[in-house]
Amino acid sequence: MINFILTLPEIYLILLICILFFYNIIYASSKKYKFPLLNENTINLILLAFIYLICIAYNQPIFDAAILNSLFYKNTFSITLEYFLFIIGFIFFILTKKYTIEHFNSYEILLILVISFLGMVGMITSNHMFSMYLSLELQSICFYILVATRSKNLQAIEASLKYFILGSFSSAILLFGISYIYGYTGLVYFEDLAKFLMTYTHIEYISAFTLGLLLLFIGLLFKIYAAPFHFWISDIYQGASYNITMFFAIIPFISFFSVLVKLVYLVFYDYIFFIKDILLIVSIFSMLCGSIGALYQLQFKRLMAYSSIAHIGYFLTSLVTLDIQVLLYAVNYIFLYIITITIIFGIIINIESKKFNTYKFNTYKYMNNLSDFYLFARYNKTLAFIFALSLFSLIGVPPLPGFLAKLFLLTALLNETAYMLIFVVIVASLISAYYLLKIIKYMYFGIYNYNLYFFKFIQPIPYINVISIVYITMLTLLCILYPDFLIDIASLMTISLFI
Amino acid sequence: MNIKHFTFLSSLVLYLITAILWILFDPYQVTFQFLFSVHILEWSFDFGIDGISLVFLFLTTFFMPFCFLFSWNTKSITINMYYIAMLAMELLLICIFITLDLVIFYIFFEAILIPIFIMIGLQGLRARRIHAAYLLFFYTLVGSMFMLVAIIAIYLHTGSTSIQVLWFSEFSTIRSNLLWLAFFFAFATKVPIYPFHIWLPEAHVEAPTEGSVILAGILLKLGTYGFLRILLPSFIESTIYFIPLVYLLASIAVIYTSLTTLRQIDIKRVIAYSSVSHMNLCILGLFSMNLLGVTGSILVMLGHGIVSAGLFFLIGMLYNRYKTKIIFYYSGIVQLMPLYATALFLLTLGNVSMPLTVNFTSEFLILCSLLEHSIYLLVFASIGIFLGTAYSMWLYNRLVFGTLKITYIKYYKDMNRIETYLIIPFIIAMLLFGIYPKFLMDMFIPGVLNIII
Repeated sequence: MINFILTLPEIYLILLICILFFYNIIYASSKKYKFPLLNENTINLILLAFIYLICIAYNQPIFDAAILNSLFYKNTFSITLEYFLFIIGFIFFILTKKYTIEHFNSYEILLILVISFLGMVGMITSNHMFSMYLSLELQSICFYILVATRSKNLQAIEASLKYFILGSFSSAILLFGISYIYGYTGLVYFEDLAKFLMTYTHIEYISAFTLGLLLLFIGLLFKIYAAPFHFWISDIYQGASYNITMFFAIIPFISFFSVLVKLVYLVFYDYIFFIKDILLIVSIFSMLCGSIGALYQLQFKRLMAYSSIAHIGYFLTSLVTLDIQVLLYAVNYIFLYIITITIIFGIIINIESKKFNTYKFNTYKYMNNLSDFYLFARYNKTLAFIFALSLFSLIGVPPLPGFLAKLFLLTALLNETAYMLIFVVIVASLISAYYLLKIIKYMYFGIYNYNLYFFKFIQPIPYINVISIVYITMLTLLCILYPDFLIDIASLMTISLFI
Repeated sequence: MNIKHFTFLSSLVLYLITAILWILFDPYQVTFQFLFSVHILEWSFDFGIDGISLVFLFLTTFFMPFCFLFSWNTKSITINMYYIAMLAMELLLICIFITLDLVIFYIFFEAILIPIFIMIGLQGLRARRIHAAYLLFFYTLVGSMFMLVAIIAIYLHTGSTSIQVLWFSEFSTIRSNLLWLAFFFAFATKVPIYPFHIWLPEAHVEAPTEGSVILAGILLKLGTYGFLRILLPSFIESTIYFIPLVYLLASIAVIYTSLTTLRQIDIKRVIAYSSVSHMNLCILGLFSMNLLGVTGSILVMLGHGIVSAGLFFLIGMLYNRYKTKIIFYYSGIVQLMPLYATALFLLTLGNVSMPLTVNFTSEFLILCSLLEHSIYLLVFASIGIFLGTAYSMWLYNRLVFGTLKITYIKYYKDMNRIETYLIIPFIIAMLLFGIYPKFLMDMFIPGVLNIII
């Protein structure tokens, strides 16, 4: 019974997938109804289902329990992350509704998106090496397909092939690392491993265990595109269609974050110093490569890809310092970062313009190049203002939530006397200020030129999207006045990891 | 009532509030007055003013209505954003001057970058302005990052971010010196002291007139205000340790920027470099650490604020008419613009620190205080002041006298009514504080004594 109560969101998700499958397959292929297009219906159903899902996730009983033969484990950490995941997913579906309806005729993409949510929930709650690995694979396979949805585009095909090959490669490394650890310790459950490593103190530095640890973490860092393993991600961002890019930018972050935090703080806490130097190098590399690489990008998506690499570097500092307070503030950072990125992409995805063409009138143009942002502030003052605020927030200019996150992170790092990391964080954030200001420069200070020509036919933006963007922005701005809200949640989450 | 009226009226109301504060202020009380604190859950941030912050509050609220008036008849697409940016800037500046908390100070110190960045970037069509806006943004951002780290270090050391706590807390020598350097770097880029001054002329040239007025009048004073509020009272030993460095940089700056001024071709650049020179003189007085010097440097801030703001308004009037700021195109305007020439003459006299102007009083006090420290310093400062006379007179001569260059500018038009009324208060304030500075000095000298001793 307890399994049933605690896995209600997952069960609901699985049922949702089944029902959507039946609905689409039967209704869309019916000759009687003339093969209707079910995109809009499906996305409406998903939105409705996500509201219920959020309610269920919110009303979950909060106590620590292992479920389904201890394959999964639920505590405040995982429940909060699940809840956050569903909320962000709901916002994602609202903001991309128009784009999806206009650009995709097939319902499969929506189903695959929902299936990948199942994988992510599995990752968040996993308590076993194999449940973690299998959920990760479920998620990854969905992602490979999602990148390839723009099948007539050469870039998309290249990107999906690249993603598939490199993704399976990194999965193989991950699995190799797991098998080494299993071979050395004979254990696969997270709790068992943690207890074993806490009591057994004779592991040598040069051993199969260290190799396994290293391979495991390299596999995971490959998946979250930390710096030395980041070369593919900008192509993926560029090749995927806009809603998929948004999906990649905001949602997988949560699941990988939870897995990394659990592995570092829960499982390998006593032996993580074996690979601490490597994590430190990866963190510094990510911050510097991300911020320097973004300087030379001319396309918005590639720029955001590099920017997210830099932010992964900030987050990885919490894994290097191994301090609860740093972790707490990293959680806070992740929340604010994800919400800010959601706002940025949510604005971008809704601005489209009809490109005037003598043969076809309805070719759409999105903000692909940075130069497309020319004088955006003149066309839509509200959204341009919110966009500029979000970018300033990413830079970390004071009265905005991004500053709060950076302030707390720096405080925690200084408390740990990690001076080198602080220096790198400051340098990276200064460099990143340059390219983010570049977008603001284009938006506000542009001079009339040919780019205006396209945006004469700018399309109206759905009312609901604008409203939701404005509300999210207001909520994040409220975090400045009421910062304890997020910190309380983050501290509850981090404390629950250690009980 | 549109945005224009609303912002103008609110700036007037703020000026009224400052005037009332000045009346209610008790100058014989050494501690902070009108204290109140804002509670955000477990943190509480204190606010309050003393004489020094009242001077700056007065300066801020005195300029702002004129900035709104100056662009009263301008028609532009972006004018509303402009007004909002200016009002936001005024509110942020007021918050900086009344706060007694390091974090709040830092937040508003940085936040002011957003409106000034937008103000500089929005104006004009020159591509160079973006470069200028970037320079401004990055110089301040880099400097204040160090300040942020220093503030966090202070928080971890003392457990509080209150400035009053900081004044009475002790640090080890190395830590104190490092914190001093971090704060110094942040404020020195804002003042700006010699090696960090490149952004200022660029920003002045590209900024709109109101932007220049705010920049020269108040934003540069943020750095010196930071020195007064945080650096001097908190790290006295470190200040004494680093005084030679500061003196070296500032005395280089006084002479170097004055000489640079002599070869500029842009009127705004001339005034910008002259304000760098004046602010460095102010730094010399500030770090003399005695009553005369600090009083003199506060008066320099006030006087330089008033005079350079007036000069920038006058240059803005020229620019609005003829759309150029290059000296070459102007000559002999006294013949057709007598009112303008008179106003420019009076404010130029202020810039060369003629007796009867506030600049004379202040620079005299600074020179007196420097005599206690070193005779060479006095010589350097005097050379700087002399060069100041040289370039101001040279500029005035080039602009106002000589033959009319009617090949370049065909139609001349003297100051209209709104512009005349706008410039008169600056001249009155300059002369008033120059002739009878005592009522002003009475106000802030208890605060200065509080800092020095």
